Amino acid sequence: MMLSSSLKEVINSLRNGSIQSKELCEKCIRRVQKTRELNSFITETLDIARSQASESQARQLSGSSLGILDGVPVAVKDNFSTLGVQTSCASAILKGYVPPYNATMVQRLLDQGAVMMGKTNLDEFAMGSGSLDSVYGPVRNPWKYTFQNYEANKQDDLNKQSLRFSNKGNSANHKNNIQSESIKNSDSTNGQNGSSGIPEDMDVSDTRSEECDWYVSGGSSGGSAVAVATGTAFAALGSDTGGSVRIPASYCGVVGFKPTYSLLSRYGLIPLVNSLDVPGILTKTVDDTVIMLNVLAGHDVHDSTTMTDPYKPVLAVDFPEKISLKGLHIGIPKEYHAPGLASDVLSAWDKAADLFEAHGATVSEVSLPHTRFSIVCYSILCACEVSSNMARYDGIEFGHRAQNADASTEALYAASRHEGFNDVVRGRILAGNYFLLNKNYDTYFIQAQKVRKLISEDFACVFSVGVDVLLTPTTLTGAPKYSWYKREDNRTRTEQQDVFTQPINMAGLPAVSVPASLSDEGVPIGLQFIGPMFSEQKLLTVARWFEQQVHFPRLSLDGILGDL
Amino acid sequence: MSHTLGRYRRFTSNFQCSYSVYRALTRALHHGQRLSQNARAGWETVVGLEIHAQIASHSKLFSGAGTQFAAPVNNQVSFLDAALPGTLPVLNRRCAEIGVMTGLALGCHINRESRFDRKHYFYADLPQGYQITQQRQPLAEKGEIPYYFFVANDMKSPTKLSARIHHIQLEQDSGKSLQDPEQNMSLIDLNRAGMALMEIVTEPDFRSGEEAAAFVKELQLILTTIGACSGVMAEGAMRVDATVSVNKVGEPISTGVRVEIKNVNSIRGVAKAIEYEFSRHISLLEKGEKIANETRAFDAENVETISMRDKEKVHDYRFMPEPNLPPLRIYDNQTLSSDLSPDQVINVDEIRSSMAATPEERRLALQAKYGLSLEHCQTSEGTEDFFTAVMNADTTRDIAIVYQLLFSILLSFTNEHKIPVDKSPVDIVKFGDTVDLLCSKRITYQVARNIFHQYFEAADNRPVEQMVDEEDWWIITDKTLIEEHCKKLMAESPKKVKNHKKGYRECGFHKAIVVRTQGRADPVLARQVVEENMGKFVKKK
Repeated sequence: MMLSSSLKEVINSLRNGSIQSKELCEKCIRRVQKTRELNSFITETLDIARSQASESQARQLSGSSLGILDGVPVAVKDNFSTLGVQTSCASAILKGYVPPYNATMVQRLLDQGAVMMGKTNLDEFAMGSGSLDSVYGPVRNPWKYTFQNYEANKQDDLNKQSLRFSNKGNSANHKNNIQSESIKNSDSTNGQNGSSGIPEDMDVSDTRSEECDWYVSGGSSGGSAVAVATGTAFAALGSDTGGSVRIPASYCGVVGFKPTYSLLSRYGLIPLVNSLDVPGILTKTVDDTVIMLNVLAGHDVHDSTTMTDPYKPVLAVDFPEKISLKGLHIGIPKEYHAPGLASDVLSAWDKAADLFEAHGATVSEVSLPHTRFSIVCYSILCACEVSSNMARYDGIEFGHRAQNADASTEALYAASRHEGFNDVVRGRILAGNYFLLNKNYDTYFIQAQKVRKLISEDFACVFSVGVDVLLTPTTLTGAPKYSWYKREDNRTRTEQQDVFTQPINMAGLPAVSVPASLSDEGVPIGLQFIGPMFSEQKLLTVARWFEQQVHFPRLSLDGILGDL
Repeated sequence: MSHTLGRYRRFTSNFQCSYSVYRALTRALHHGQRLSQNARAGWETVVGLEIHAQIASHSKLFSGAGTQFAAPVNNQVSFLDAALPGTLPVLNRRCAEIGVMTGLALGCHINRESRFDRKHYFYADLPQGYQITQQRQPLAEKGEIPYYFFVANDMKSPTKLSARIHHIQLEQDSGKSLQDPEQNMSLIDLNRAGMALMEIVTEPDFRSGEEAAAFVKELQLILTTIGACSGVMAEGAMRVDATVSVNKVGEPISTGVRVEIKNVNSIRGVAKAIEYEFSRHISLLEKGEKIANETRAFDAENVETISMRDKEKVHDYRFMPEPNLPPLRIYDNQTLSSDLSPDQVINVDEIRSSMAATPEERRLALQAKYGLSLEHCQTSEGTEDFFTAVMNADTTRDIAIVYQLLFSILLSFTNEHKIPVDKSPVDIVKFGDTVDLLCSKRITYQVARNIFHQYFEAADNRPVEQMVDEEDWWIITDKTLIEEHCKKLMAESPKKVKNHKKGYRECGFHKAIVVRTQGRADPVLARQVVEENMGKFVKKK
């Protein structure tokens, strides 16, 4: 029961004493252990969580509190730096890298007394939309998932558990062992070589029976979305560069929020594309997102791109049913009727538009003519920044350093980087270096920046004529199956998956994916609301209204896994 | 003694004509003549400079780490400097202000918006894999500074030249690598990584190594005067790259193949490296060989340049805008709006009004206030303050005597002892007292020299008047006494008397009288007495 609660509900329970931090933490730990086969965590920080919960409980008993999140279990995507805890970006090159500092987002959570359950899985360096291309193996969507391995692994888990907890501070290493074992046991497709190098005819779908197939969690913040959906954490940090928070939120049936660029600090977030990256929030409800946003937002001296004006907290909507939609103008971008849009998604979209109209909002079709150039534009800008950002991974100061490659500094670089990066990362580095060559710079980089400006102006234009919020699907389809997803490589899938989410990053706008309904297959479909810069208050109010109208069924694993 | 007298006379004549000499020289040394003057056997060289000056700030350009020289290895390294993932650069405001100040001192236009770029290359002491610099929109552009060039063997008459500044950019310094070939290892010290540099790029405005060196010296003086850089080249605080090309006289300049000399770290080195390169080019060109477009290092010990990189290896730095830094905006009194907090913005007008005067401004002020000639404004460190202090103590003092005594006599002692003038044992009081005795004609210049000699060489600490009194150094103005000396000389050297009177050669008895009185005889009176007794010397044609 408790683990299906929203963040807001669990905060209330902690406040009124119906549950205490340690008990809540233990419940989440049990859930973490029971859902291991979903592979949502790279590093479980259960020992840290226990001690944080214990401290929180002591505060609770003495009547003090660090803040609204005191005692609340949260999860952090493994590309946010965490003091003393491995931060791997799901890449071999950062295996064993333990940052000496906390990302600002992590620090702000800890300052509020939050309890950190672990570091969640992602696509290597957040490059992907499926959370499949992780050196630690793919993340699985809990929706319609058969926990077939749970009973079999139960005893095994308990053995490892005692080992892990008896060895404080070393949990990362143990977890690595477990992961590599589980990769061998249950999924042979991922390993050091990265999944995209595996020929199609060797795909796991061929060696697995159809019943063993499962739904993709979406990416790249798949681990965080699964953690929230399964109740191992009541909120999670993700990062969104082209849809990496909203896509897994849509597939896993949770709320995924990408704030306005500059509202949340990127300090300590290991970058993918600096000019597009934003920390994102994954929660079960829109109210929960508001709580998290108000804790996280505001200027950070460590990030010169954060806004310097004081942050005005978003006010939560206590009675969403009483919100009047009179005067609200919802825009429906016609270009989002894209090829490949599933009929059940289209239907959910149409219904939502009708719902708004029926309640007094103005709904009209708008045009974002340059949206279709977003994917190609993104692929250039992304590759350029990736090639630059990845230059620091040379195995000298930190991270993976190749053995027996000391013929020269160059040989050491080459070997370390070859071993450390998967094909997707290497491909983007190569492309980016090509685009940035002096002779190509104008043709590619400058041109892409111009196109980015056009995409951005499309949105500005639509908002300037009175549209308050745009309503679009988050993804083309409901969560796809793993076997289907792996038929194409990372690049192809990313280009398909990011089509509705990426233009928003180009323009730096806030957007939120809210679960709307279930697909024909019974997996979640999310819809996306997009607002102008710094329109968080209105955007989240509209999302909140929509959320309470649709009564989306929250995933409960209590029956399947049992609640303690 | 006669040697000393000779020096004394030369100074006197120089003092009288120096300004007109300077004017004449600057008129004569216009562009074409400068070229031919420095050309060798029909060849001429064109030189442009890039000077990397470390900004004298307490912390690095984008991090809070310290900037002390010779700190323990890897002890001034922030997470950013080690390029830990997720760290972000935050511009150190002080560095930007110093950049603006330098731009103003070098007569540059300060761009109201400048940007940072990433310059990529792999090197072990560059942890980020790129340097943050200002490739496309630098902080300051289009400056010009005058500097003074001393023609060889004439240290008295500087030529005023001018060099244009192409731009000034802010950028990060790299770390340091130490190669251990025996163990096949590189050792890395990141203390310097991320320190703030200004790269000052000139136009190719130099025609010789000496000119370039004179410019660097002036630049060093400017940067230290305004407090932008320590200027200590031995510590790497200023490092010079020179681009040298050589062409035939008469051909358009800069048509020769350009060669870059990297990291020269002394002013003499700048002159020597360029002159070496000039000669090397000529000897290759005269043999009909081609000059390789390459980068060379200067070996100060062997006074030669050595090829550093393979000429075929073209570096493409894959410049890209730094996405984590907003544009650097500079405001002025007009553009400063009230909603901007003054402690958050950089105001160019405020910097201009609070910065120290540049050496050139101080020279011009001296010229205007005291009518000093340019060469006397070309002063070493502290001289100007010393001069001003002496004058301020008594404004009625004869300027001509003050600077004659300062530049001709005191500086010859301080230079010999290699100490700055403000550390001289002749302090402002002793110097002023000496000036006053000269002004009231109670001692001669030769005696003044003797007084200073006592202070410098004999650790004498008596007040000036007491010393003169006790040593009996007062001026001899007794005409009878001088006449006695004159008559005696005439009796000793009848041949000189004959030559003088017939107009063959001047007898020079007035100098001899000064010598025989240990410098005490009034030189003007001595000359007058000699003329009265021997007649005025008229050279026979």
